[in-house]
Amino acid sequence: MDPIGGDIAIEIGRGLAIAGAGLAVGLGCAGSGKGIGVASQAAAGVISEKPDLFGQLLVMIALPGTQGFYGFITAIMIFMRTGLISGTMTVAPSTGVALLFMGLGVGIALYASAVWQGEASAAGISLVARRPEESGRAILFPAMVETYAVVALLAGILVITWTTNSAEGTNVLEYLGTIAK
Amino acid sequence: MAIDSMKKVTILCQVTAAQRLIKTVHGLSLVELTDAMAQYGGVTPPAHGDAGDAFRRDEVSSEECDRHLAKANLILGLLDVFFPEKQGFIAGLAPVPLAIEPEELDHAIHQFDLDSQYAVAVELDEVYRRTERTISEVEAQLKDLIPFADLPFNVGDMAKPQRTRILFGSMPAKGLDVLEQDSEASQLLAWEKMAPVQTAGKSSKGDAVRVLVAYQRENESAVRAALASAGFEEILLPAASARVADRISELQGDLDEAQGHVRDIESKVKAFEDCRRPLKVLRAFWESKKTLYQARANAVNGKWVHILTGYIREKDVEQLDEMLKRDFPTASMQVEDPAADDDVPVSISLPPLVRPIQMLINLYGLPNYRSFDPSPFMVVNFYLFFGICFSDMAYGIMLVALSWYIMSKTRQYESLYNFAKLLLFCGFSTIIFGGLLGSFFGDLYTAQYMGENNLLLRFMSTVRVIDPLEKPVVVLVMALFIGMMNQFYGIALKIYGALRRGDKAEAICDGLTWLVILPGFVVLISSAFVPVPKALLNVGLVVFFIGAAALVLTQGRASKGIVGKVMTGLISLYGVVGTYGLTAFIGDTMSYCRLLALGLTTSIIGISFNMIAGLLRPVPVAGIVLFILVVIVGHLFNFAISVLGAFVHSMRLIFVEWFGRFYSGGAKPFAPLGFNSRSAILVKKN
Repeated sequence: MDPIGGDIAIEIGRGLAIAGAGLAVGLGCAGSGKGIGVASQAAAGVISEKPDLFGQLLVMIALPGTQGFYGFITAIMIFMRTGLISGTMTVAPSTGVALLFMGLGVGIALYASAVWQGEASAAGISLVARRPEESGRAILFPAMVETYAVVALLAGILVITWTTNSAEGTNVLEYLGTIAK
Repeated sequence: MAIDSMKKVTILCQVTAAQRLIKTVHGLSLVELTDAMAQYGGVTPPAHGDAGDAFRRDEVSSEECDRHLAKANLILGLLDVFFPEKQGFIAGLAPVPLAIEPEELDHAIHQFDLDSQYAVAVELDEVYRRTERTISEVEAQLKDLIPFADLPFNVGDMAKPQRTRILFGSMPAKGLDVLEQDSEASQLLAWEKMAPVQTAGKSSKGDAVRVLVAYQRENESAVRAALASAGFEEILLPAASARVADRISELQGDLDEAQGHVRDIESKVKAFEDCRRPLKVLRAFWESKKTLYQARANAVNGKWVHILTGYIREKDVEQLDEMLKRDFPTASMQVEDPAADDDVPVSISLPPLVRPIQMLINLYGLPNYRSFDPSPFMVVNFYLFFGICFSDMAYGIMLVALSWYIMSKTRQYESLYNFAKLLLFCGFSTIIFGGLLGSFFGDLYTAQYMGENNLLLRFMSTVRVIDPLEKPVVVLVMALFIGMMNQFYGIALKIYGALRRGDKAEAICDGLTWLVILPGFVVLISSAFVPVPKALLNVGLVVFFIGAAALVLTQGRASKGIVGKVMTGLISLYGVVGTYGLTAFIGDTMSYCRLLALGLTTSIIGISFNMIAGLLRPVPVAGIVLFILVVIVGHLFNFAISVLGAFVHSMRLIFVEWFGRFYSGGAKPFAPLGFNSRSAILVKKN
């Protein structure tokens, strides 16, 4: 479609949807960066004393990194489902607004959970430093935080799928009913 | 039975054989010693009866071990200063204990001359420390002098004036203003700012300026105080009757010489590199000997007898008995069952196929001796969760290959080997679910990358059952269903555990009631979303209310008064108090939606890398190379982050949602007295 001569409403829809993708991936990556930073600082201190723990701590550092990828996935889903990649883009303004705020919501959840997961990782790292045999439980604490990033991602994926799929996306309950049959 | 049956063992022998006995027990590595004093401390041996004959502990001293350990550590420490042990990145991820063969140990103990090596090393260490000290002193002097390298006169000429004093030093630029404003100071002393330093090195103190200060001798103390308040720091010029520049080159000469010494030491330390391994072996030996000495403190001695107490696996009793009969004919052994309130250490034995999963139990905490080991029960669900979370056939194959490789390299390190085996089984599960969910390096097999109707595409479309990207809701419902089933399974295990203990009330009230109400609850909830057949809905309603009534009546059985019991029962339905709750069940079940989310994560990131690679493909000439490069690097990366996510989240589902229903770990592991430790193991010969 020629963007200049195209339908202005669809243009707006497209812009909003991509803005939503940008927010999701931007906030997610920013949160992961901060979370990993916090965890890394704690780990670097421990490794200076106990280099043997490197393997265990690396896992703890990497945990807050997933939110960045959840943001990336949300963005890619928006790109795919709105046809940005295949080049046949038709996004209604209402869908665009929905995706913009969905991206914002997912992004905020990802950002906050990544930062707090980083803090939880750092706390877990200091636990491992004192009692290396507790590494299993220490990994569990940050994984508890991540649950909410997973929930946000999943909600995001479902919203993207439903809002961009006119055939089965309009009524959730109806759709679930069709599956059950 | 997965938890080994344990026995309490008491060994009596003559006092004269005490040392030999504990050494032999250490060599066998079958018994975890306990404090015999706790049992026999208050007992006075019969036949004598006087207080001096009461049982007492051995005086133990690990001094000999500490001395040898200090020697070995000094040499190893010196070696690490000059030649730190090189360790690959992968080896750094999973430190393995030192595997020692018996011959090697024997050789190190008898052939390696620790004392003479130590004598050389301690001298080198001494010289090294002294030289390092000299170097830092010379460097400090140089640092002070270099700012004055440009003084044109001979310092000795102004060494001892009769009536005046001249000081060199540095102070912050602001300090000059302070002096300026201090009227008393300006009367007592004169100062002069010197030209800024012309050296190549950067000035160390930011805006510090060099100053030359002159004053009369009798005002010394007042002047010093004024200077100190202005932040003046005196720099002592060399006492020698030479120019500063000459002194600097003299010091530089000293420095070069000292550094030559260090290089010399380094070349001598290199000779120790061959000793690193024997030294580590010796260190492990002395460490184990130290634990042996410390273990002696657990034993008690009478005038004639020596008593050891401890725990032993039932299956090892015979071996211990044989040894005693052979080597200590006069010793006697008593074996009994642990008492109900004993804190029995737990040892778990599993068949090889189940063994890897025990790693998870070790991470969470071992089961109590009198409860049951959940390992055999979590073989199916853990691998299932992992497979769904990772769900890519190609990654599964990669994981199988990788863990196979690690297994071949780590056969002697039991825990690492079992971890690799755990990953191997996870890999098989990933292959299966990757096929079912239609992912092979994301969508690399599709026509746009590998051509129409290629072999892989045909294969994948035969094995694929559903594409979670196209029908996320269907897979979500499946994930929730798996979660629900797993929660029911957990409750069933709670009933099993209660029945094993013979606690029928708990099995019925805290287990069975939930198994009744929850399926009814699920039917009721589903009816809000999907049409449910009338008959099923009615059954659900009846079951729900029967379960609810049973719970209201039983959950408050510990509370006082009828009202208290019923109120507790009602609240426990919701889930704040009591053994479970409807809201807790919803929360737990929803948590399983991560199975879908992580499965999608793996495939979407894979698809994204394929897409990026696909964009590069039309580039002339280099296109295909770039395509392959991006695909390889991208998928390796995705493999690494997704395998981590899949493992952590499967583990979490097991630990939090599932263990929460029936399991609490925390027993102390069985640790028999022997050579093996975290840092070293003795390789057994078959």
